[in-house]
Amino acid sequence: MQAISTDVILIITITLFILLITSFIVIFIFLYQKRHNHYTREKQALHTQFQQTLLQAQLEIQEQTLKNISQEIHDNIGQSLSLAKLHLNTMDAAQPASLEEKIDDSRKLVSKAIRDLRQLSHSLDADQIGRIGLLRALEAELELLNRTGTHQARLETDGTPYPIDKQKELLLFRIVQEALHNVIKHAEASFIILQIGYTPAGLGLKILDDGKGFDIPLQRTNENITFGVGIRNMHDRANLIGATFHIVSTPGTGTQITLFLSQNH
Amino acid sequence: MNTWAKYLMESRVANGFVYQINCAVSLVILSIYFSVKYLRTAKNNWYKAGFMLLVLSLLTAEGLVIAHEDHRMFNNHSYSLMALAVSAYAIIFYYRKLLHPVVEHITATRSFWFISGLFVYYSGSFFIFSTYTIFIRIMPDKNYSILWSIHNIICVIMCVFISKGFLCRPYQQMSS
Repeated sequence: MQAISTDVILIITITLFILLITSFIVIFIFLYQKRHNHYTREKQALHTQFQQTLLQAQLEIQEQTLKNISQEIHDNIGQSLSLAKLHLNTMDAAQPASLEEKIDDSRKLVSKAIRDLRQLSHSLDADQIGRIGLLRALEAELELLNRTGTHQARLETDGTPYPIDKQKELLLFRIVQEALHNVIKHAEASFIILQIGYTPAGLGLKILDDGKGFDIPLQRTNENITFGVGIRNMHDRANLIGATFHIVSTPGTGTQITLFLSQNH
Repeated sequence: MNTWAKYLMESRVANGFVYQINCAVSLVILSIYFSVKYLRTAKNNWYKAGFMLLVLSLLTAEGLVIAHEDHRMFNNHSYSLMALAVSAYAIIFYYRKLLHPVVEHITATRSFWFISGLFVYYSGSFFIFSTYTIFIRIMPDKNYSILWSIHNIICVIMCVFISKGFLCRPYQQMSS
């Protein structure tokens, strides 16, 4: 009788122990499901945030492009056409030598205006970066900057270009555009160098200028909000695509912005 | 191993060493299985090094326990330590899955069933392994074959879990 009762106690104890283990697994499954749902929601929120940033960047690029086009029309095309009009207005049939010269000049000015308009029409393409790629889009951006005559911008490339995700290209383009905008607006620089390096490890971008520079900690305390927001935007966007973003600047020595997008990301 | 141990028992030869070989080989194989799983998914090198240190410590401890045991009879210390080690591996697996809940249905993955089977068997048997020798010492005249019958039932449960695992897809396929 005592032997049976010992066996019963053993069986009950072990059964309880196994029940405990099974409960552990069941609780794990519930917890896992709960955490998975949370993880999915977080992932969706991140995706939405990424899409919103992308859309915002697209809008900003379009806005900047329209500003550039407006300036280009005013400074170059408008000037060429006004000059051509002036030539046409001052044509005198009694002076054939001068007439021929003015016709020739007007033809050249109109041709230049047509050429500039054609180049501008490419900038109006909403998917320009996706179509021509980051490198050529940046080249076009620097070309546009050079044409204003206020800055001398140069592009230096290293390595063989390889395709990058279109959405990442768009955000990288916007970061560079924002950096160039900051240089134009605040740096009082003459020269801008944009270096792009394609390495097996990843894509490196460097924007250097010879402007007045600034003290980064001082900049934060001075509450230069617009400028600070610009840098934070660049930093956040770089983070969003998994790139590193560094800014080095000291008063009087210009500014250097470095971006690195790893291939493995 | 069991067949060999049974054969030796029927031939009236001490078969304790067969169980010790079984214990050591099982722990080595399961340590490799869990290490591969851990190293494949962990990204932090410090965590990887920590896990490998844990595995090496457990294997060394198991080796030392086996070396100091009586090879002619069943020893509960080495088996208890092995059960504890495998249960610890399984708990680490569960914890990591909770940290990175990538797959929608964990119960549809192969590794979940494999590891749950191992967890049920080793943690369930821990009680039997650790108490068997104590019972024998306290009440030597009593037959404790009931413990081994329960052990066999737990082993069947593990087999069911592992069979279910074979019907599921590997975790890597589910998470990609």
